[in-house]
Amino acid sequence: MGLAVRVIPCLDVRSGRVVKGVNFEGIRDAGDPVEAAERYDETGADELCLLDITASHENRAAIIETVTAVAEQIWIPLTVGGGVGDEAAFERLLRAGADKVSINSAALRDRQLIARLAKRYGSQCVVVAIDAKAAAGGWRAYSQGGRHDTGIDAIDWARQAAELGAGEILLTSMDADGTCNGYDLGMIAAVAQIIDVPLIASGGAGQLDHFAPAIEAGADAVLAASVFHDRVLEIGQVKHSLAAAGLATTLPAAEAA
Amino acid sequence: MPDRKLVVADCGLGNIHSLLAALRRLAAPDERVELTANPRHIERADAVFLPGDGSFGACVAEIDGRDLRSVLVDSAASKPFFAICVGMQVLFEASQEAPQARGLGVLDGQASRFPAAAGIKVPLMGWLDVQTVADRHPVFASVSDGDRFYFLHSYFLPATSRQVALTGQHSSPFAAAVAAGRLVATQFHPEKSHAAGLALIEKFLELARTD
Repeated sequence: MGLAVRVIPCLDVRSGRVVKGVNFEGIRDAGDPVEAAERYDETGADELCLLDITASHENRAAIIETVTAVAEQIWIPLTVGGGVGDEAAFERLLRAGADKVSINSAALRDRQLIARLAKRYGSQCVVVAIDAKAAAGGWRAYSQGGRHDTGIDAIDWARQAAELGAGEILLTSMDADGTCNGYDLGMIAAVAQIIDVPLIASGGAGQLDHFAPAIEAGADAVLAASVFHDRVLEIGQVKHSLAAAGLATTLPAAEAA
Repeated sequence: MPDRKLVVADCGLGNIHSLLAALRRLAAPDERVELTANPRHIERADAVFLPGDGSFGACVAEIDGRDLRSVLVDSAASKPFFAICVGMQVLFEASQEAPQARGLGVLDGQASRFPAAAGIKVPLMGWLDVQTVADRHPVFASVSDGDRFYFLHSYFLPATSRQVALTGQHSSPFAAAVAAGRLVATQFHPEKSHAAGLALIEKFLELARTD
């Protein structure tokens, strides 16, 4: 027993619709977020992640409606992120129905934002999302939805974010994202060694044997979008593969055996 | 007969949608669900929910800023009352999270931060198994050892607190739920714990109706 490994499907949402892309590019429409969220809730997701990829010049109010509509149909925790620029935007999402809110570019611009949010809302709902790409000697953090190379070392940034009060790190490998070739295990291990808050591995999941290694590398949760959305894998299958690797899952005891 | 009122105390922090949605789903036809920061509405409620999001200090500050302290203390002592997460913690006297903030003091004890321990992450975030105690409160009658609920917190009340109904084990043993008569509090989020969590809310409402 003990804390279960979390399996987290992620929905990328733009102007109220689920969309899909590869390596942060090539976006196409993939359906209604509320329907997708309900399906994930029913099929055993341990948590749901909703990422708003609406560009800054588009209608940002849409995400508030989507969050509320989704929150009212699911009975699992909901993390929402994407374009959260300040305290007011953070609070709007919490009030709309998010349990945790992830911040990314805004925290890179203003690191103390993490501390202020943790003080008011508690670390447990402050997630710092890091989009990172391999570079000479390690990994670098990117901002603006992966468009801008900050030049900041991603591992060091994860350490700082946790120290400032982030309750969780959502670590996405931009290299692996959308490739279905597996998580970036080296980067997961490097971050896991340096932080003592929960870590979500993201980017690259394509088949069942990709999940347990991410946990073994040090992640506490595995996030995936396309394999679940395209029904390449069901959440239950992923939990069974984790249980088979000897990890605690939320499968009922009889099923996990 | 007038409608019964299920009132969620609005402390202005965090997510109350899931709780409201759960209550609307589980309410009987003659029960009305209301989110309010108005002390008089809380006073007239048939059952009160204290969702308690945010940090301990911010939650207490909001309670006092909205003048809800006395009505919450009275309600916790006199009617069906369900506190969740930080809402459970503020029922106690104090927390290490905000040493200067005074809890409601309905229950004895104070919250401490989970100690650091190798391989154990703080916040406790996720689905943890709970253990039942011998003398179980009726709201938790259907819970079995090993059932999992969703936890999201860094501070905890000791497993040795009086009126503990469920315990959990993280870097320290802790109170996963406390209950005394009509007062029920869970450190986990029942409204985020899928069917197992909704069943507890349903049972609480059922008992509240016979109050």
